[in-house]
Amino acid sequence: MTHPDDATLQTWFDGELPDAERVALDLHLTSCARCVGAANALRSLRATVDHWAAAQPDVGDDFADAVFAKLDLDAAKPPAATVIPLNAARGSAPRRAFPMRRVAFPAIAVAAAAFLALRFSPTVPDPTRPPEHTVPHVAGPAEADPAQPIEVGAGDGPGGAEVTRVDVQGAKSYAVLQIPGVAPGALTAVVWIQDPVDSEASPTTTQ
Amino acid sequence: MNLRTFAASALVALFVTGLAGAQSQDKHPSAPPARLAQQPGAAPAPAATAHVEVLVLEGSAGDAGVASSLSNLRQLRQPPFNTYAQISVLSRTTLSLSAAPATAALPNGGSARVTLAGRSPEGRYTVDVALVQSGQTSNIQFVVGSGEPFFTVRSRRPDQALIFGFIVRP
Repeated sequence: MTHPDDATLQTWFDGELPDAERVALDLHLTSCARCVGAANALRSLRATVDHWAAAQPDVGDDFADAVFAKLDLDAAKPPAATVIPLNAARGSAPRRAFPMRRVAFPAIAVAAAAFLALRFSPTVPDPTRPPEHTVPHVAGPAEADPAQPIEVGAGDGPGGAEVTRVDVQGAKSYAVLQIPGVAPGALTAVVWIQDPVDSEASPTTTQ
Repeated sequence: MNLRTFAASALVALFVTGLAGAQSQDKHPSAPPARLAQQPGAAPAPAATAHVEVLVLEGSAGDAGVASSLSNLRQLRQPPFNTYAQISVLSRTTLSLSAAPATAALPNGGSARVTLAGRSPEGRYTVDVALVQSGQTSNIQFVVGSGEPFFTVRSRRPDQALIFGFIVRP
């Protein structure tokens, strides 16, 4: 990553950078002394501003109320970053009472008769004994030339990629980010898994 | 329902089922029944008409830039991937995508097991990926359209990462 410009760094400092850019900048700051220095300068500037702001005379409760009202308005705006709620509770519809006596007995009778017909009919094969040629054929892995261009497309439907389940083992942390997809306006998910560094890694979590 | 009604239902169903089965065999004497193509216990899924290309990329602090074969993957030039000044292709493997798991070996000694979990009416694929590494398995499920790349990244150091890309193709 190249060094962020002042505006990007200021946005990061204010906590307003989108998730994907924030992760990238966090990573960059772990290895770039120059940008760490710039971030420290921002902190110093903020401390100075806070100091002088505290020294200003009291302007009264109306002013403070107006400022907090503005802050509330800003907070009500939708956040720029989008995070997938993986553990969102899913509602469940109430079950209807099952009419056991009226439905279950005829269903059992039909199922039993169907099984007997399929099992013993001379014209229908045994469903419990699949012939060899009906076993799904899984082709072995095919290696492609790494130099050949990789083709992408907009795909079917609304486009993008959506993560519906994540269960990560042996990692320090993980995040689900959203970045622009192939189709205009579509978003595609990225699962970013942070493994522990070598000094933190157990023997079973080495990459 | 008494015993007489039960027996009558069974006889009627036996007759109708047997008749339908015989007619089906007459029309397609050599075609195997579709239900037999599914492994016992497997979730309902479409036939294996799709493939998935598994890309293993390495992001690093080198100065070679993004590999030319990745030029169509413009996401790799944007955050968070532009953290890495160099992205190279370690391997490309195409697997059959079906309800039966298919496995690709990974350069880090692990493996990626890919399974088709379902397909939406719009044609989007629900894919289960199990990344096995040093005996530990991380499971990710995603929904994607054909040709659309999905990425997952494993990073230990700020200047190095393995980037796994999955592209489903019909």
